Formats: sequence, C-alpha cells, structure tokens
Amino acid sequence: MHLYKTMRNFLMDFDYYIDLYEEKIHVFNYIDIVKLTDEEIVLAMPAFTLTLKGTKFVVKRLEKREILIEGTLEDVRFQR
Amino acid sequence: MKFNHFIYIKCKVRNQNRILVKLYKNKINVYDVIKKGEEIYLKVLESDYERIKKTIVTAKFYYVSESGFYRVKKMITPLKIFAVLLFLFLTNFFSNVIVKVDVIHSNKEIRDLVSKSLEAEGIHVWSLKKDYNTLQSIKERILNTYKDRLEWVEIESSGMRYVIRIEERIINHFESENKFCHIVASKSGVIDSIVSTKGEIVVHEGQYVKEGDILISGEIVFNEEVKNNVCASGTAYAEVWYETHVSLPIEYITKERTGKKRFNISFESDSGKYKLLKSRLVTHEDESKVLFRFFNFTFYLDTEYETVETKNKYDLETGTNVALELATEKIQTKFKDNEKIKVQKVLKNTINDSTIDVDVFYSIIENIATVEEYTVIPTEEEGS
Repeated sequence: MHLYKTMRNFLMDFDYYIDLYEEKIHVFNYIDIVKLTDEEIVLAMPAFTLTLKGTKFVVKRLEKREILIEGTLEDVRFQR
Repeated sequence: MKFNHFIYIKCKVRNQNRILVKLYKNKINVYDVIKKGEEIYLKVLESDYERIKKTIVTAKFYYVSESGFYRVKKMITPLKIFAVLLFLFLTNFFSNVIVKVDVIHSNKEIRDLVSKSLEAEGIHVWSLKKDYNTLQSIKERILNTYKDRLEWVEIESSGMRYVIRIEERIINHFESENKFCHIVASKSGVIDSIVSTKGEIVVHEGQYVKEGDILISGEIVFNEEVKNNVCASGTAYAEVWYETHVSLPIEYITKERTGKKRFNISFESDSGKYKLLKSRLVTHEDESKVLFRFFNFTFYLDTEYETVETKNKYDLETGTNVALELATEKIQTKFKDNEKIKVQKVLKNTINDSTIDVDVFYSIIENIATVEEYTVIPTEEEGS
C-alpha cells in the first residue's frame, strides 16, 4: 500500500512543497492566491494558509499549480 | 516535434499584481514576468493572447515579440540564409584562390622560364590552389623539362599567393687551358703583398711598380730559359694614392619633432604607396604599422609626427669632418676583398659663400692585379 502511494504521488504530483532559495520562493501545488502585493503574498494551501512577508516581491512565473516569487523574504507563517 | 508558441506581451498598469491575480483566476499561465516601471512584460502562450485581451478589459495589451524557437524561426529569413551561404562560399573561394605567383630568382631568364611552365600547368593569378600531390607532380614535370637548367624547384603556399623558389643548375665547363697570360699592374703603386696561385712572381713587397708592369709572369723560367707558359693568376695588393675634391653645401636642414602627432591610413600596391586621407600636418615624419593585407594591397596605420625644420650652417671644422666622412664612405663602397684605407689626410679646406671645399689625400691598399694575355710563337723545333 505504501509503495502504491509513493508511486502515485511521484506520477501525479499531489503533494505540495515550498522551496526557499536566496531571494526566490517556489511553491508547488497551491490552491489559490489570496493576496498578492509587493510586501505580502498569501497562498491557500491544501491544509493551511501560507503567508510570506518581505520586500520587493515580484512574481516571475505564475501557473495553475506553481508560483515562483523573487524578492527578499523576511517572515513565513502557516495558519491552520 | 511541436514547440510551445510563446510570445511576449506588455501592458501599462499601476497595480500590476492585480493583473497577475486576474490572469491566475482565468487559468492563464504566465511563464515570465518582467517589470519595467509602470509597464509589465508577460510571457504567455500565443493561443492565450486573444483570451487575455477579452477577459482583462481594464488594461490594454500589446504584442511585443516572439520567444524561443519561433523567435529564431522568424529571424531566419531566406535572405539571411542566402547571405550566410554566400559568405561561406566567398570565404572558401578566397581561401583557395591564388592572387599572386612570386617566382624568386635573380636571373630573369630563369624566372620567365618557370613562370611560363607554371602557367602551362595551370598555376597563375586567379587560379585555384592545387593539392599536395598535384604540386609534386608539377614540380617533377618542370624539373624534367628543364633538367639542364634547374636543380631544384619548391612551390610554397603562403596565404593567397604561391612562392616559387628555384635553384639554378650550374654546369661548370672546364675548358682546356690554351691561353697564356701575365698578371700586370692596373695602376702604379708600391707592392704591399703579392700571392700567386699560378705563374712566377717577378716583383717583391715594397717595390714601386708602374701601370702595365708584369707582377706575376706566365712564363716558367728555369736556368734562364722559358720552360713552359701558363695563364698566371693571383692577387697583388699595392699602396696607391688618390686625391679627391669634396664640395659640401654650407647650409643644412635639421628636423625636430614637436610632439604633435596625427594618424592616417595608407595602402601599398605594386604601383606605390598612397595615403587615404590628406595629411593635416605641413611637415612630418611617418612611422607605419601594417594593419592588414587584402589581395595585393597592404593597408598601414601611419603615425605622422609633426616636425620643425631648422636651417643651420657648418663651420669650417665641422664641415671638413662631414666632407671627409662622405668622401670616405664613397670610396669604401668601391672596395673589394681586403682593400682598405691606409692613410687619409685633408690637403686643403676652404669656406666660400655657399660651399665648403675640401681636398683629401688617400693612400689605399688595393688589388691592382689584372690579366693580360700574350701569345707564344712556336719555335721551329716545337713546330716540327
């Protein structure tokens, strides 16, 4: 059962993930954009709300399930 | 293989993030976002462009350019492909064509001989370069045709020209010696040294000889009787005297650089060297550097240094020294092996309104040996 779940997830990409790089944030499998400003981005995730705070946020790539943000990240919050 | 057709579009809007959220809400993917002041550039699918214009009416979108493969495809036009192909063809053509055939030899007859043979073999100006094997066979054919004239031929490819080096075949014809000669003095003088390679020396070192005196005799004498006759050969160095007169202009011009310089471009062809631009300096000295060579033309970058000409006058002492140097230089150009100046002395120097006149005496060690043939009348015994 575990093997099946792993395989299914690998092929279907159901899991969300958040990658933090220097001056870049990559979020995969988000549900919705709640707020989008230069200082704050709020994303609805499957189980919580992700709040990113910082400066000079610029969306570099915006797709249905994927968002790439450039800017200086100062605060990350998860809200259930 | 199908590529996604991406395009860049732009719009001018204050709240750029709202546009992005609207695009997201309408399920339109944005693959790149570039913000430039109030303008925002978006990379989207070409198929989404019309939908964007219909759904977001608050901002006006403009098409900017293609992206990725389609951009490259748009850039490559038939004219550009033709230009590239033409360039490649011309590069290939000019790297394989000969613009000059240089036949290097001091003898004009040999040069013409080889040039004609090369033309017959297809090596001439504007012909294509030959491969190594063809060149080898051409060389062999030329050598075989002129085997009594040519020793060796080398065809060297140097850029866009062929350099042909030739070694002439010299056949020494040893003629049987059937003439008799003396070595006689061509000028009067005192013998300094005398060496005979054939014949008998009849003068000694320190002896004064007059023009025409026999120095090395062709008659081989033994017991006061001529035993044999040969063609005498050898060298006879003697001290001979000359007096020369040099007249030097009293005024001379010196050039000094002012430090001001200008650049110019010139080119050189077979007919001479020409400047492309008119020189901006009145008097100047030039230094040239080769920029590049194109066919038979060489282009130079000239640096023109401005000069100021000053008129000066020689005094008697300096003028005499300069005149002496000039006279010595002129005499030395005529010197052959081991000939030298023994003594030089200023006899008279006078300064006039416009010239300095100098009389110089020279004592020179010079080869005065010259060949003079003579005939031997056979005696009755020899004749019979």
